[in-house]
Amino acid sequence: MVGVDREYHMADQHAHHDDHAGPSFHLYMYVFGALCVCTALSFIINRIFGENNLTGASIIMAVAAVKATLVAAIFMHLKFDWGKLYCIILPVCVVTVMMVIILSIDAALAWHAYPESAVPFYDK
Amino acid sequence: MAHDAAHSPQLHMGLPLPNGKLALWIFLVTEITFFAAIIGTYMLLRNGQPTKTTPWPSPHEVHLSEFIGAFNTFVLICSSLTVVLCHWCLSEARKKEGADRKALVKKATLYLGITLALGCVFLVVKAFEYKAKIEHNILPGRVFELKDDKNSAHHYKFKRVVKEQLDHIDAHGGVNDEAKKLVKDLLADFDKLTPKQVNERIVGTKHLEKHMCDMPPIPANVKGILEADPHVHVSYSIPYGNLWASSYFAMTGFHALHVLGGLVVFGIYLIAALLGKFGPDNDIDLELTGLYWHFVDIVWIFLFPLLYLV
Repeated sequence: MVGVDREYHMADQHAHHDDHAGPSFHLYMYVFGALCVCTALSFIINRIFGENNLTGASIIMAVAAVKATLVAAIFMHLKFDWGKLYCIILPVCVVTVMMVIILSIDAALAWHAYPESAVPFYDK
Repeated sequence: MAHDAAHSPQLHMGLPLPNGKLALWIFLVTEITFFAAIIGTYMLLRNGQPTKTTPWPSPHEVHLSEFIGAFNTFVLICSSLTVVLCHWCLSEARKKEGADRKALVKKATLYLGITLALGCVFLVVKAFEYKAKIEHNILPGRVFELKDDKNSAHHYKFKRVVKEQLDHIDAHGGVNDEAKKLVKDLLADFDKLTPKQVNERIVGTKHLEKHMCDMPPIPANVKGILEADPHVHVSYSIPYGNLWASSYFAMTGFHALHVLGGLVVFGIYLIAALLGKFGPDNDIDLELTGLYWHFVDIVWIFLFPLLYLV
């Protein structure tokens, strides 16, 4: 049992040292700069397009996705660990997207999406 | 025999990652589903019932400033940077000896302190935002929604609450002269007006036109009390305001609790650092806490545009 524990510990240490082939100080600073620029960009796009504008909203959400990808890839070291972690992360992302799609079906097919004449038993 | 056994290929179970990192990632994927459910529900509510004539509340209608949201985003991004720099210093310190090692650990402690301070700034800003919501009564179940022209009990409760607020402003002041005059005028006409007309006199024509409230006809050129002084504490109609408030407090509240959790861990590390028990051996601990902290940052990266901009 002790031998098995030691084996795991060694595997741990080995994996740990592999992690250090990670990003450099400069890469962190570049990513930080990019994140700040993206935040300013979404703020400016909002000013240009105004509220409740589909084009503006799509660009702003795309910028948010870019920011999230940068943080995940570099700050969370996923660029280097993806090969070891994708089997955990991908299924969850699939489930998440499916959940949003299923919720959206309800929103898209809600009663108000139909003209009044199409609603059964509408007798006003 | 013993020699052969020692050199036989070892079969390692699980993923080639430190156990702690694997465990934290499994925790993080459960967190992804948790926040995805909350954000997904918000999108369902937002795109579900509201219509073009009675839309979902805009950020300005519910006293949200996109500048404050952007500032808090910047604060969290800075804190993410200081965490990775802290981890980077500890990793570098592992390779060094003597004075260099000490200097790097000291630098890591400084970054840790800055991260803690930035997290506190985020929560203080959030607390001010929550205070403003409480002062303006934008709380779940407390918002008046005059969505139609029917004068129901809900509409008359709105009138009663507004009367109390206007009487208080009239007696105690605290608003600018123009708003005070408008309050006095509204109080003089109060009994003759319907709840809908009272709302018009509070928000003004421009607001009604902009937010396309489903209550035609919109009166021409009524100057609202809130136009004269946006800081007046008086209730007004926000269609879907209760749903908005529930979503806002659920999303930002759970996020703020996660920030608080991260700050507690950073606080423990900082105390350990001040006691001299924090060094290069803690780099894996800090990496794991950092992973959690970056995840919290990613959640905010999505909450900021969804609540403050779009």
